[in-house]
Amino acid sequence: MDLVDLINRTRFLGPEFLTWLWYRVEVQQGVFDLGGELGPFELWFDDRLVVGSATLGAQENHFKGGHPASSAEARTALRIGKLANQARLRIVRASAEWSFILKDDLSVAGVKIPAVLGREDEEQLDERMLLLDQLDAMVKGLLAQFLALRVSPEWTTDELPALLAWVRTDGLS
Amino acid sequence: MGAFQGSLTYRQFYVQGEVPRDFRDRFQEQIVANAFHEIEPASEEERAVGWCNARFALDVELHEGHWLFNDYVVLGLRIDTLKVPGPLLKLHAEREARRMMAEQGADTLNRYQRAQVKEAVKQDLRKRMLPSIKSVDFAWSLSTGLLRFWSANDKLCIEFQELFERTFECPLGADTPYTAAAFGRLGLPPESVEQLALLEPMMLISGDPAELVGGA
Repeated sequence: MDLVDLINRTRFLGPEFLTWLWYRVEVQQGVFDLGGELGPFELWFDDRLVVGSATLGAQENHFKGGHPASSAEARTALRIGKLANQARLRIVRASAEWSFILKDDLSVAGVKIPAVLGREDEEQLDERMLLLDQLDAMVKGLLAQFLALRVSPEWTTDELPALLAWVRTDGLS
Repeated sequence: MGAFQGSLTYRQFYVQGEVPRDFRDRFQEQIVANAFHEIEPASEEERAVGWCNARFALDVELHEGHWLFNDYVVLGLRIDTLKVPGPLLKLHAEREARRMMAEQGADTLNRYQRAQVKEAVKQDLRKRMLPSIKSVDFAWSLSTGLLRFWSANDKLCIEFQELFERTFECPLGADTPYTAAAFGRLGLPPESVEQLALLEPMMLISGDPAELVGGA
């Protein structure tokens, strides 16, 4: 299989990652610690969430406003086999905050980064890139955790059953 | 749009292969060769694509100070479109046709004459119009190989990828869960990457989804 085939073959990992992240945020109260330079940070699902299923060919549900990730409607969508396709996430690490829409193809939209202080073009570029690199490192750290679990025996014995049990519960609101 | 200021919507890519030692000279030559060229109104060309200065899209005379910023190669992908809107062309062609009929004392023009009028009016309007200009930045870190392109539009991403690969002669791989792992960005061992390729999608349900809606 060439690279394009492999990318297409594993496309489902994007929605699975977002859905797993949703589950993890709820059970860990949004607290993550990736260790190393990244250290601890808080992540939560914000006011926008899209769920759908390419496999089922079902319609997408767009949730906007409030806190859709903890709503009964969004959880119901999971129970009929849909997964998260995109979500607005918020990350707080130390005194810095990022807000962004993460899509299941890993593209990001509407990123709000901590304030950039540089005045010259090159300073602004370096700062913006550094802040986006930090955001990318946190997202990739979480993706690495998910993929490592996904190919491990613990996925079948522990993680997936726990995720399914969470799906069967109602949201908080 | 993007690298220095403005909206932060982007897609990431991994630049594969090594950056050549003489990259300054090689890239300069190739960037100039693929720089944006204005649409010639007298031609049939409706769209033009090429590199521009990311800080000022009208600047297409590119030298190193325009595209190399410390560790980053930054350029704008400029896309100009010069297309006469159909309804506008129809209106102006009709006015010209009426003028010709009045001049010739004719009641009508044949199909060939109408086509000629339409083409002449189209050329005239193209000369009087300004093209629409769009510029989308990319920023490529030479040390990490990570590249951000400030658009998530699939068609534009493909167009960017083709021009990038032609210019820099380095393959670009889109950032996806699989490529992030396969290109060693996640620190996963090779055997885990091999296993990823064999996974089947997880199912949150079993049986008919329609039946489960009621039971939810």
